Amino acid sequence: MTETVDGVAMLAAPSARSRIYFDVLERHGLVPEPVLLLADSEQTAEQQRRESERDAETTERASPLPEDPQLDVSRSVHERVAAAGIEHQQFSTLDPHDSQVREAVGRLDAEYLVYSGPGGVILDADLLSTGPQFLHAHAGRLPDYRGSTTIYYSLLAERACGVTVFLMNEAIDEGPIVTTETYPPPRDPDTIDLYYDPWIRARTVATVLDRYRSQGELPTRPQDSDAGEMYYIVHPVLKHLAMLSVDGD
Amino acid sequence: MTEEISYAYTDRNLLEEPETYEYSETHGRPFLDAYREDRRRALREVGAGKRHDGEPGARERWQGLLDAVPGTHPDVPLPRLEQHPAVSQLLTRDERTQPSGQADVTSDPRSQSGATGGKTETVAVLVELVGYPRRAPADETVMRDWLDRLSARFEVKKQLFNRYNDEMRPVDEEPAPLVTYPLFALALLVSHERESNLRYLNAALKVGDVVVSTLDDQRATTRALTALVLRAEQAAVESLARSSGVPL
Repeated sequence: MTETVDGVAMLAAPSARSRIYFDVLERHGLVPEPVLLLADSEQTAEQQRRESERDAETTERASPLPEDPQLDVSRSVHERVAAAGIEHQQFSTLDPHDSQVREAVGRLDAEYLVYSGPGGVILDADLLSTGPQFLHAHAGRLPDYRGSTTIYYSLLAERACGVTVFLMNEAIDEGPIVTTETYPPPRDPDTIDLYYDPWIRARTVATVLDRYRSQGELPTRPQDSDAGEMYYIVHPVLKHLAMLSVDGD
Repeated sequence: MTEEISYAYTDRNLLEEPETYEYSETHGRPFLDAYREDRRRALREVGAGKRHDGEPGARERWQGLLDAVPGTHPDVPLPRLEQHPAVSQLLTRDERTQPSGQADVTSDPRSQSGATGGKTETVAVLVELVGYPRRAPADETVMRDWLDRLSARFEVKKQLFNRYNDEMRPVDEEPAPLVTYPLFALALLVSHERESNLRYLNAALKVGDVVVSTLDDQRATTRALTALVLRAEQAAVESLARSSGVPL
């Protein structure tokens, strides 16, 4: 039977990241409930943008990640919550700002919402304040690595990957920090985008939810908004250098 | 059999069809080979490799910048920026004094005024940042301040405009002249050299793509500047590859 964690809900986009979040949390007995599922009923620009993720989602049961042979990304989050009897609600939009999604978030009886929405969407202050606090896992150590594709920058600079779980606010990657963890480079650099990045995020979310369940609270520390760096989407040359540097380990 | 790929980020004019770099495909080593070949081709096209100093007196005008990026060792003919119409009007005859039309980059960009009437002239700022002529590039703090603002603008539109207001919003939709891009890339590469900060090299590579993609439209002065940029970029990438254990 699937074990849930009280006081925590989840908002999930149809993506490899959401599948990995759910798989890791389910195996840790930390499934959020209810789960709000964004769907891709329309061919939106966002949907097209994430084509590469869906292409790589496999129907094979074999784990695509050498670090975690049990990882199962073969089923959608919708299939899994339905099979596990987890309370969920599906929306025919990928936009977390959609009025129906916003209302559903506002009705949640939860302290925290694990956010796994579509990438690249900046959430507005209204949505962030309408219900539970949004827990977001960022693939970089904050405040040092704010912004986009920071996993590649930290691989090049430190040969390590960081994850920070923080409470979202309207500023990009500047919310109060719950925890920061460091991970080694991936064993297979080809897994970075689709599997390793979401997997280290999921593991850190699991650590946070486990702490919340045992302690009943999540202490935070503020960020210095003037500290750190803002990174923009990585250039393919740096991306390849980062991947090849891992290959050489 | 080795995969043969082409470098797809300069195969069109990026100012007309911008590149977002989202979800970029990966091809392993052949990609780096394709990138390097693309830049080598561009260098051949702009006439690099002709071992002379370019325009008379040009080397001394660039000496401050060359000292700031010592790994570059340019074997490229250096330009005199005064010959570019977008720059000539910024420089006075006595180049050792503060040019009358040039930006004061040491003041807060949000309070720029005077000759530019509260508007920031993008080329003027960049000429000042790279220290042309006969000066060293601006100090790290000033560089960072401006490059942060210009990078944020560039990342949104993947181009720069001719003038920005006090809030760094474009005054009008007039595009910056092509000479702006190699100047921007040079300033970014100077900051990367000084701070080993990858976000500068990342931006320089994107601006470098713009520069290479617009070669056909560049006038002689800009092309000479492009050669200098590509040499500096090449040196920075090779240095990063070495320190990352990736033989090129």
